[in-house]
Amino acid sequence: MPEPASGLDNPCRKREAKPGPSGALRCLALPAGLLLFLWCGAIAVAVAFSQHDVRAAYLFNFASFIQWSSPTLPERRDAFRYCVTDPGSPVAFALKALVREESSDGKPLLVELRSDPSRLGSCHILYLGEDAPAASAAWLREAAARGVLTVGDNEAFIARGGMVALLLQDRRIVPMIHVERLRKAGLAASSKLLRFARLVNEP
Amino acid sequence: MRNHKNRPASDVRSGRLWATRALLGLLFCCHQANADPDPLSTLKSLPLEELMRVEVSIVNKAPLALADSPAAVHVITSRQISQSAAENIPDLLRMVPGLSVAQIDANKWAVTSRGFNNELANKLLVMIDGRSVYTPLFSGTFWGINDLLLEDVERIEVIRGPGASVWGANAVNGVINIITKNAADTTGTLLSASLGSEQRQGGARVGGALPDNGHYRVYAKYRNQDDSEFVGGGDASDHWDDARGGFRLDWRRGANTFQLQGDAYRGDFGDSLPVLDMAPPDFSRVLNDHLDVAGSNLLLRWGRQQAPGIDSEFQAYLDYSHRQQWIIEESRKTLDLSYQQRRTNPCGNQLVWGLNYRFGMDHLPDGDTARGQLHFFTPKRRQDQLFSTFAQYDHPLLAERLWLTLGSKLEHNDYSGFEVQPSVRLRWKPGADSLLWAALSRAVRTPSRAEHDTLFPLFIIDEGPPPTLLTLVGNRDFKAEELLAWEVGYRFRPRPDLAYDLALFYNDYDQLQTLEPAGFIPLPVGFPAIGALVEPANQLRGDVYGLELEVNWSPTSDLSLQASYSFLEMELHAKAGSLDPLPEINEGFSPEQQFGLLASYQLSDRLALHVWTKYTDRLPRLEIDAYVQMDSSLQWNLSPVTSVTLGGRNLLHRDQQQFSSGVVPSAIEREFFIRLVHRYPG
Repeated sequence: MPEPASGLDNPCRKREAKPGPSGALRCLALPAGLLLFLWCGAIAVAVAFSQHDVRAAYLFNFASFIQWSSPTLPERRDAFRYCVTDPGSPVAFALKALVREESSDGKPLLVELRSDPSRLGSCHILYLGEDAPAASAAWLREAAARGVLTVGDNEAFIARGGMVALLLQDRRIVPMIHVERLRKAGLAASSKLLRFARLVNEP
Repeated sequence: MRNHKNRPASDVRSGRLWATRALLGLLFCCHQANADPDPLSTLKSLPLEELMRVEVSIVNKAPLALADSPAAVHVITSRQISQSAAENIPDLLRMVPGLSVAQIDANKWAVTSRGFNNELANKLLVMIDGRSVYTPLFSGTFWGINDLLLEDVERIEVIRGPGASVWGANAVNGVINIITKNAADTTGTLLSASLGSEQRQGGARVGGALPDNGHYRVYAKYRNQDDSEFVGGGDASDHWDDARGGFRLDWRRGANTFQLQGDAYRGDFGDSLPVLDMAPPDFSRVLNDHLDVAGSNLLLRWGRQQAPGIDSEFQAYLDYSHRQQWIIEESRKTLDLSYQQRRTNPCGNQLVWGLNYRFGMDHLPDGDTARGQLHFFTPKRRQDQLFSTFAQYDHPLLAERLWLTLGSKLEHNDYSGFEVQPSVRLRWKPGADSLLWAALSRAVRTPSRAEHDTLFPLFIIDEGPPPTLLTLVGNRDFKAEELLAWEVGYRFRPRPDLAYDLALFYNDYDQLQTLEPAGFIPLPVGFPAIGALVEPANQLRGDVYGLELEVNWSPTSDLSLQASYSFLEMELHAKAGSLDPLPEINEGFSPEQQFGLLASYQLSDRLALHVWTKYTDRLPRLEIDAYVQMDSSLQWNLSPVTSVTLGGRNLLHRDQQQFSSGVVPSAIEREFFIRLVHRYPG
């Protein structure tokens, strides 16, 4: 068994900082590459983030790219709250690490668990991931009525009444935004976000 | 975990590496971006437009990845666990499409996938947080002693079919991974209590934060269960109670995660069994035995994201178990060390490889022959070592469409020597909503300690005089049972609310176990008795085929339905020369057909109804007719912190025999319960 590379410290790996050949030959590797791959395991390993980490990074960014124009509710004044229904989800976990010691407009960023839709009042963003509750319709209704941005993972989430979906498309995470639902909930996405996102306008 | 930090990289070496890099770059050419040790801080610093460009790895350890995996996989989520009527792990597993789960008596279950069911179904590997709970003594899992605070279970992953190329020997017909929550997700205090007509349980857990991004939890749980009923009447004396407690600590520091956890349990399980007695004419009596079981374990795991696309994991655990009962006394200590590394690149290539070492030592004292307690192991103490390594390589043949996965496990064990367990898998995505996969895998079930080393009288076959006891004797030449499995599967999600999952398999087994006559010996029982010896031999082959279909449909956002159907056909053939009178006995232990329906209905924001029902085909060998069973529960969230669940299990019959492993079979009784869960936020 060859020696495994250990990340940054491996001399083999440091060579990787230079750009390698690309273009037509890209991704032509054959399964036989397995042997070569094993032989010098550090070769040609590049960036591929976990999709959950990327989704969490979007959620982190939404604090600055969404405006909550509705009159600020007293329970939202003390902090910017991300609410999740499954604190064990990988997205929630990454988000907790991202918001640690961060603030938005001088308010701390918090990730909190909600197990009942009636307790959404203090949330700014509600993230309903893969394991969203069966009654997500109730959650979405309640969140919209209270001006909470709802974020999910797939188009079905938009079809069910959600506002933003963080879609996995061609190995990238792309936001899909239902502009009208945001407007009705008293929310506005920044022009920069709207420029890059996929927009949905049908009711 | 090797540290290369101080290794001098000579010019010659660097030059050679660069040449290699240039050569391989042609084959394997994905450019390297900024190698930040913590991917989250990299992502945090990216502007929005860059975030949209970063590539994500498709394969990871999350449940989502399982939905894309080229294998027959089903996941039970924590939400399903909290809402179901199940209060132990086997009851939860009954919900899994295609799995065969039968309760034998109050404290024994037979659980398997794709045939060969038994109390110790030996072709299903079971792990809790990466720790094997499969016993090497008899091969199989003692479900009664493996329990957890179910509120702490994050998910249960069930793989039907072989998983040996990654998980190793004994992952022949399936793998079950029970995964508990990170301590960061179990902060605060939880109290749960369940009061039922057959069973009582109480559990408590306290969790909170520790300095330096750490979290902890501590839990304790007690269970108490009444007797089941003998078929034909009478209590089966199989009541039991057990208590367990444990802890888990988790830290996340930059790109490193640390996990330290441990559990300890003690239980007293009733059992009634026929035992040898010195008094003629029967030389046999029914004994109400007590099984004392105790055990503890400690597990350490260190995960590290070395760079974007490279993560590794080191795991070490110690496990101790002791069981004392009339028919056996066993103490076992296990040390297991493993290392695993996963590398992914943007082309979609992924390599996972790992090393594992396991050391086990056991003590199996002889029974007290003066009391007719007959069990002998030679040697009484044994130390065994297991070395293994695996590699799995996932390669896209057509971008975003077709992938090839090659993998193999190579291991050496002290019973059957070297075992190679390779697997080839293809997965094809004709469209975004469908996945077609095919797999060809080899897996083995390695010999158990009992199959090699025991002398174990089973039952009286002739009252004599002198009485003759059918006696199992170990056979050191007994080899591993082998499987070559052909599988295809199709997953299709035509609409967001509708999904189909179909798996077809053909399992070609060879070297399956038979019991062959091996002569007669006098037995050391204090009076004239003869042992008619039978020894395990690899004299059976088998063709097993079947299908498993699962349909998930959510007609409204408040209602979700899961329907399943499975079909299984087993054909076992003794080889020429076999003298086993019942070589095909296993054909009749697993149902040919099963239908299941699981419905979850959210009646209001606070009220949820769950109904699970299953049709199980007849078990001809056990003379059990086809039956339908139903569990149901109504969960009412009184407040965000308190929930009450009213439910029932086995609702359709006053009692129902599901399996049998003893002379007098037990029936499982209908049961009602109320469960209270209260959480104080942390």
